[in-house]
Amino acid sequence: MGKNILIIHFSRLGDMIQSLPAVKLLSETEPRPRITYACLEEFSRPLRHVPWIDELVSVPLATVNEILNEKGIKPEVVERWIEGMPPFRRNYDLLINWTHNQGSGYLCSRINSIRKEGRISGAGNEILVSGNWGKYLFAAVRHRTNNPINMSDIYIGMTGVKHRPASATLPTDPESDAACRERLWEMGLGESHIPIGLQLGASSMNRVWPVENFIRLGEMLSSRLNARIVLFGSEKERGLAEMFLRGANFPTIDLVGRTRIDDLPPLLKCVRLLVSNDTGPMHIAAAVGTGTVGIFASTAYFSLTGPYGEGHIAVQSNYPCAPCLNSTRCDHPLCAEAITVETVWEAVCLALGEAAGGEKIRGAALYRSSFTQEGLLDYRPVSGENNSFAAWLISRRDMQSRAVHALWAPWLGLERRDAPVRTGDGGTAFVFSTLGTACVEYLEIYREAMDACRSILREFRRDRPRIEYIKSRIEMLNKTELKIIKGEAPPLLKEINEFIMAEAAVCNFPQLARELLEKYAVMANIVTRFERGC
Amino acid sequence: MRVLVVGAIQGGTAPLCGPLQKAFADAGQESDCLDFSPHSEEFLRLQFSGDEERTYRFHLDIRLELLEKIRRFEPELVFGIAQSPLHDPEILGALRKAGIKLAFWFVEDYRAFDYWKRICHLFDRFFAIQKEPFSRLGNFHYLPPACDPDSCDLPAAERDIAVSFVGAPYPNRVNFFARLNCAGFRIFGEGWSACGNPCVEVGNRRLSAREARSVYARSRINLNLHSETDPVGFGGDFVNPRTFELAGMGAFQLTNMRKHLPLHFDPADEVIALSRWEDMKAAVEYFLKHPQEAEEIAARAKARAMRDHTLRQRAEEVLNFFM
Repeated sequence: MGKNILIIHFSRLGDMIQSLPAVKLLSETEPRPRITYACLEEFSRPLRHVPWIDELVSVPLATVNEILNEKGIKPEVVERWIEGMPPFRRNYDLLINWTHNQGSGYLCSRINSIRKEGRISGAGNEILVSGNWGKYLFAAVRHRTNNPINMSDIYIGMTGVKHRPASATLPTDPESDAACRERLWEMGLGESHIPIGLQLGASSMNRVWPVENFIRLGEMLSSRLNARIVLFGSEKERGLAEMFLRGANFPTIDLVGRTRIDDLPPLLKCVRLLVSNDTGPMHIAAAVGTGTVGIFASTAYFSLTGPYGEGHIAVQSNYPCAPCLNSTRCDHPLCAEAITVETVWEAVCLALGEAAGGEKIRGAALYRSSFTQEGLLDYRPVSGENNSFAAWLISRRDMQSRAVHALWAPWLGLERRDAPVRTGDGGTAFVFSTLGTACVEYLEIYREAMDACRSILREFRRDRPRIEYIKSRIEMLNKTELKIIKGEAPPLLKEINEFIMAEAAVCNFPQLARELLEKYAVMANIVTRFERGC
Repeated sequence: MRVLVVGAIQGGTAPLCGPLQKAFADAGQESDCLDFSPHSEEFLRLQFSGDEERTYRFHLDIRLELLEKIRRFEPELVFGIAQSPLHDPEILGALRKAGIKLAFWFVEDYRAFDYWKRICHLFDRFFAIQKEPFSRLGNFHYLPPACDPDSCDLPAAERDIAVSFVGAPYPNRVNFFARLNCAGFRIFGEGWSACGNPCVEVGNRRLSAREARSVYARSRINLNLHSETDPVGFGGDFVNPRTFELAGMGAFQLTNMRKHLPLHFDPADEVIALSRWEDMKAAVEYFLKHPQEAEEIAARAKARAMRDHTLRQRAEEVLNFFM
């Protein structure tokens, strides 16, 4: 009898599709588990044909916004709602929450499960993140340039199954495939054409590559490759489509606002390649096995949200301020505009296996996806600008992310991907040594904190504990906490530290000293292992 | 149009008074200015003296000086700069009754100074360097800082300072600069002496505008880290006056990314704007080794500043509302 597993994923379409490799690999464990997948109703239809989801629970976005919102959870309202939702009243062996909001954490705290992963509210409704991979996920979203692990692999990590490549993670219905092929034929797709899809919009206008650029790219594709352009997009993106059609002087199949969300997978399966901003359709294309060229600007960053699968090309803006954080997101992003049409053309050639045109890459660096020996998706640089700060910085970030992988891999149960290079041009070696220095600094801080905890415990064992002495050690603990917050920590460490410390039981000294000692030891172990590895 | 520019008593906006008056004149208007900065020492002395009577007298004298200037010059527009003593509702009400148009340029961070709430509604036009929270005001207009081409036009200086910062020790600067391991880094600004940073060159006084410009011109890299009360804060909205001044001088700068920055400069081509402190540190390392690239970026910033961001252009933008 397989395990009973509940997955809660009240997120956008792209995030949901990125979780499908994890769901598929989870379903392949023996004995086969029974998987219940709860998602937003608005995005649920493409999942109806996924055979490894045994039960699909769809919840309207309005309900999630009303009941499970970020703030102001009303327990009695949630309880009443759960009463009417039988799947949330069952007992599970494993509950995984991939949703980022606080309300979902509260919901998870109310569901019975032997093991829970992801965001789960604590007894006092405090934010807890259960499991190492879950903690890594929430830390990585704040450190996109330092994180080399793709979101799909983080999801796989959270399920507990061993990483390995997963393909065809979004099966389609053969009848729908045939109907969509037929529809494209009727709309002008000929035998000799290479069907290439363009996704003009994105969830945020900041992430949109200019439509004028898409037009020029379309021209090049039509004239040089005899491509037939197929426009994808929702009703909201009609304006972009109209602009495209006004400017285009080549035949175009316009599906913008003319497809149901459940037709999207079979339609995307019909095109040879999709050129897209970082969007849900980009992930759907990858999940049905279609090649993609993803354009990443503004807050988007390829290493975390690049499409899952082999051979995809990521076009990553190399603006020094990209990817922006919420606090640095600008009014008028130039990073997307700066990615030239020639650069995306090169990416298309790489994705199609055509001889590249030797065009000058500007405004971006190109990466191609493949799988590592340990089964993780890896985006490797294939081309970029030379001789500029922007190019130098993005390659420095690549090195940094590999060093960061070496830091967190043992804690996540992974092999270290790259051995640090001691000699060389000062690049990789410098990055590893800088990270090593930060680890040494934090090891010292954690040792201080552990010493303070031990002193408190020793003092409490005395017949007459000296209160003033204990107070001084507690003061020392406070100071070390401040050092952890203010210091220049190895990437992701502060966030993971916060999540680990939040798991300490709410209690008084001396029990609290025991709790903290255990947590500091975990953190000290992480930085020590990196140091030893170097 | 007869325009009277009213300057600040003290603070970073005080040196703007004269150049802004000239900017209005260059824009073809008859302009004059009332520079209160000579009163700054007395103002600071009284601020902490507890002497209520002298303080009252000081502010009365300031008001009288303002009214006397208005009586003599008979302006059609009074344009106040941030920190100027243009905040008395009675005086402002009387000026409006007399048919004088009133405008104010709030060259401040609204989070650090909240006096805008008391005065913004007293002006026909309220200009600010941030869009929020002002966008709901009916009389608001976004007016970013600018450079004064006359002050920017300095003889070429030898770049004998590797990396510099000029400004006050806000918590984010104190925190981040303590972690910049750069041998040639030098800090200038009042209040830094108490921060224990070995890179402090002048830490007990505010540099004059001329001295600051000299440091900018001599520096291979100017760090322009915008002020933040959060020690680890790195983002924000407004673009500070230093950004425009450095650009106008053709001085190379590294700045933290700002929401409004791309409206004024290309954050990769004219200034280098970063979203993370670790990237700013890396940029220092890079540009010390690539001075030519830094000079080229700075030259593009200067061209852009002279084209789009002079005080005269700001004066013309203001005049559009009143002419």
